[in-house]
Amino acid sequence: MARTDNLQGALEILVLKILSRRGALHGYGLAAHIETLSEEVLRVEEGSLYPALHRMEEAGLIRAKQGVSESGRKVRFYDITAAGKKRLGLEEERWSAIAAAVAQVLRQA
Amino acid sequence: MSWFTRFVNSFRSDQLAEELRDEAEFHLEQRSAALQLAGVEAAEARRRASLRFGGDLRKREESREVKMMAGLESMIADMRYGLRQMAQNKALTAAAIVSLGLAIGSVTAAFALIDAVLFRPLPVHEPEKLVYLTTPGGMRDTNRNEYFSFPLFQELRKAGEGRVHLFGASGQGPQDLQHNGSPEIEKVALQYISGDALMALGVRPGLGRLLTVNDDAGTGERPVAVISYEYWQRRFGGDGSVAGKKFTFNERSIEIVGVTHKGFTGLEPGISTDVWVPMSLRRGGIFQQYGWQWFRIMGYLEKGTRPEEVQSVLNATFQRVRRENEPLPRDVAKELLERFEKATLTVHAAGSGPSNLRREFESALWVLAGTVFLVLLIACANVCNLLLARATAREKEIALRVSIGAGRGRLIQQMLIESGLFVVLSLIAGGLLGLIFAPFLVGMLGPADRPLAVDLRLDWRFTGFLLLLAVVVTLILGLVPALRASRTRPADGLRMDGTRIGNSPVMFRVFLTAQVAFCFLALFGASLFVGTMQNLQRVDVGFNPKNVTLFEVAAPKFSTVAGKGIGTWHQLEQRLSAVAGVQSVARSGWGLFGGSQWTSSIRVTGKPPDVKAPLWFYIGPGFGQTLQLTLLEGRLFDQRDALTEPVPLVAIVNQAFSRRYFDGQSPVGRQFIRESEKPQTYEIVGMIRDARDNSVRAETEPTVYAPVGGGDWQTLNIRGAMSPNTIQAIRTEIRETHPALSVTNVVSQERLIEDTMIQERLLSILSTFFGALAVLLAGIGLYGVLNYTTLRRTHEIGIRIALGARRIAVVRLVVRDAFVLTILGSLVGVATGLALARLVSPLLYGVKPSDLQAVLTPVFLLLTAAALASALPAFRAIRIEPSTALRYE
Repeated sequence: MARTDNLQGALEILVLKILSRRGALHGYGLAAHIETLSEEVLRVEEGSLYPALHRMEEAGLIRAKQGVSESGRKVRFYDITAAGKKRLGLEEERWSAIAAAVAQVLRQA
Repeated sequence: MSWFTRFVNSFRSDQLAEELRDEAEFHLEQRSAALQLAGVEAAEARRRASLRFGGDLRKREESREVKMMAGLESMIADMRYGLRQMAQNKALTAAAIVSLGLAIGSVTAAFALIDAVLFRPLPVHEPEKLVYLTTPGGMRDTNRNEYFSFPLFQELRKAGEGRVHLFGASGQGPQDLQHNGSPEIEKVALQYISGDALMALGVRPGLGRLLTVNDDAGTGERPVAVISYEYWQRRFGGDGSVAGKKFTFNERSIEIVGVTHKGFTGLEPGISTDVWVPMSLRRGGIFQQYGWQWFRIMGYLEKGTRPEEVQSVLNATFQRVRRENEPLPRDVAKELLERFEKATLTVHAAGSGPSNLRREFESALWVLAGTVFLVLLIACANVCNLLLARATAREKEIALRVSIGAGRGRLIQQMLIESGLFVVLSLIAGGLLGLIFAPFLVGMLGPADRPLAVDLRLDWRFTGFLLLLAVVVTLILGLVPALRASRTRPADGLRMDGTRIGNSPVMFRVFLTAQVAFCFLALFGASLFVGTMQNLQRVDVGFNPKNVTLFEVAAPKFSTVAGKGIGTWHQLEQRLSAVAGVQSVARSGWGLFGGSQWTSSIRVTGKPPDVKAPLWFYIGPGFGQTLQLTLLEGRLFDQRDALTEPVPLVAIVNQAFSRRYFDGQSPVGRQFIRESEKPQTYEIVGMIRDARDNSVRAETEPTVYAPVGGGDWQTLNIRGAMSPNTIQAIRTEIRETHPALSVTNVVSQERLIEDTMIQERLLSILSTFFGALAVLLAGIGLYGVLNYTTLRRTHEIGIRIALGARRIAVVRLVVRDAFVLTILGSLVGVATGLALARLVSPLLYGVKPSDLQAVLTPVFLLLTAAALASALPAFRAIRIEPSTALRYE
């Protein structure tokens, strides 16, 4: 089970990607998706998801909307912004490059 | 999210916290629900959900930091807390704000005034190129002389061409004129200026045009004038057709040709001029003579010229003209010769305007500044004490804060914000007070009929000053409690301590002593200045000024007429003495205390030549009786001395004259020679008791009283009760006696004397006011502290009474400190006062700082104040019941 520390840098790109594919989600929904999509390999320490989300909100990569849950509680839904989409593109490239490099080293070494 | 959102969030931290909590809660609910679906039972599901979520509080802290500005939020929290604290201790808060508000109000008013008079530069164009000329004092030993005569001015102006553009400007005396179409005689502040002075200064015409060189060309067939914007609004209501209107002044019909631009009030800061006329209007007679100095010379340096270059050229001219016009008598005292040779004309930079106002009031204004500063210090000490008292009570709270991790910086921030709140509230209260108070101060500066137009503006200097004041006071007030608080050790504070014997800590005592010392200084100053004023008012001026009114009359053509109109003047005297209400009438060249002075060297045969020329005063028959001078020997002037022109060479002298020239022996019958191109021999026919001439303070100088003869400018001294009817009748008589006569000014003799003591009066009134304020503040402070400490010592006092202490002993306990500190503070005050008194001794008259009365009066007042302040707390202390006091607090 990958520990959360490994996930710090990647959390951002994961969130952006999921939001871009799945539309607006609330925090719990995001956490659930990450777990599901990675087949339980990646598990977010859920508390630290929120500061990260708020930071991304601050940075203008995602935006928040107020909604209401079935139980009547106020819920915040997050959605990706144009700036976020641009960042997503850049980060995807970066990750692919890194992954390829790492794989290459592992092969050659 | 942007900077703006973060800013706004700092103000809604409570709502923000709730939002974050909601978000976390929702997540936990969902996770918990999911687990329950998988079969876990509710409580366990919840627990596991929480575990998975992780450190809840810390994450929320992180989010909070992201979402708002933490620093701002902490300041806002401190402010809210501070306001709550203030509301809880209403009495303390009110006392502090009132003290500080009064002090800040005074400081604000004083600053506005001082800035307007002492510091603000003249609103003229390129003030750095403006210069003015002075020469060393003539025979009169004044430090420097700023006034020049017309012939000298003309020569200097010619000499300065190309290097400096010189112009002349007279004083702005009140003058009477009459506008066409209005029967009233009005008083205006009128100034004579040369050529195009106004334009050179950068004044723009608001309407019409300004004066030009042609207007001053000297022929004066069509005399013109310019009025100020303010006068235009005040007198003509801004009437656009004012150009072309005429008025009568000095028997001439003068046309108004323009209005200056808004905001130009004149050449002298603090005094507004209403009307400007060309200098050539004052042609003829004495005003064109070399010896009569009546206007200032100012100038604009041409581009690239330095003051020194100009100075040498102008000085050379000055020396030459002087030699031509002031031939030295044959034997002359060596001192005089030296002084004569050494005299040079000096060119001064004049950016803020040569100013009579400034010179007159400079010392008084600095004293005012010092006093107001003292009051501010007292108020600060007050508030400091009150804040300290509160801080002591909050030790528990502060200890708690420290123990949960508040840093020193945070505590200091909190204290500073609290004191800042006090300051802001006091600033608002005090600033308003100051704005109300300042015009009142200004009103006291000038003579009542000619209020000074001191320009009290709310400009950036004022705002800047207020801000600076606020910051400084906040720091003073906040730092002491803050530093104390930050040194708190949690363990000490948190002890559940009900048994602390509260002895006043050292800081309290220091502040109280300081307050008393400052208060003493303020009161000491007050007793010195009040004493000075009382002494001045008791001075015997040598004549009786009550019920004497001076009418300044001009007859511009008389000096060119044979006999100089002496017959007409005589006739005028006769007719006026017949007017109902007039007791007696007498002429003189000018009035006593009118500001004019004439000196002329004399020589007594057989004596060494004069070092200092005596004063000359020209009087008509009956002057001695009208003004009630005291004749000691010989006779006063009568008709035989008044009817011919040239007048007989007789003179009356005063005691000072006989002391200097005749060793105190009788001068009657002796002779002296008046030095001039054609020396004249005078015979002394009488001696009078010394009478003051222009100053109440200065000792009377040797004076020669000579017959006045004819001429184009004299003053009628009229004794009698002056009702408006009488004044009107007198004016009519004057007009009917001869069409050439016109009244230029009417003023009472007493007013003239009072006007020479404005500064002393100002000091006396202000120092009393601020002394009283100081005592009030110190009293409030003392009361506040005593009240508070008595309250805190209730427990201790209860014990003492329960153990048998007498009520008197309790009172002594409470007030002993107050009295000891008052006496200690007074001693410090005495020492400081005596040391500082040297600085103000030029302002005093007849009182010495070491006078017993001056020192003891303040001490007495302070002790009384201390007694009053401790009365209520002592009373409370007596009524403490041990049973209630000993209950665990």
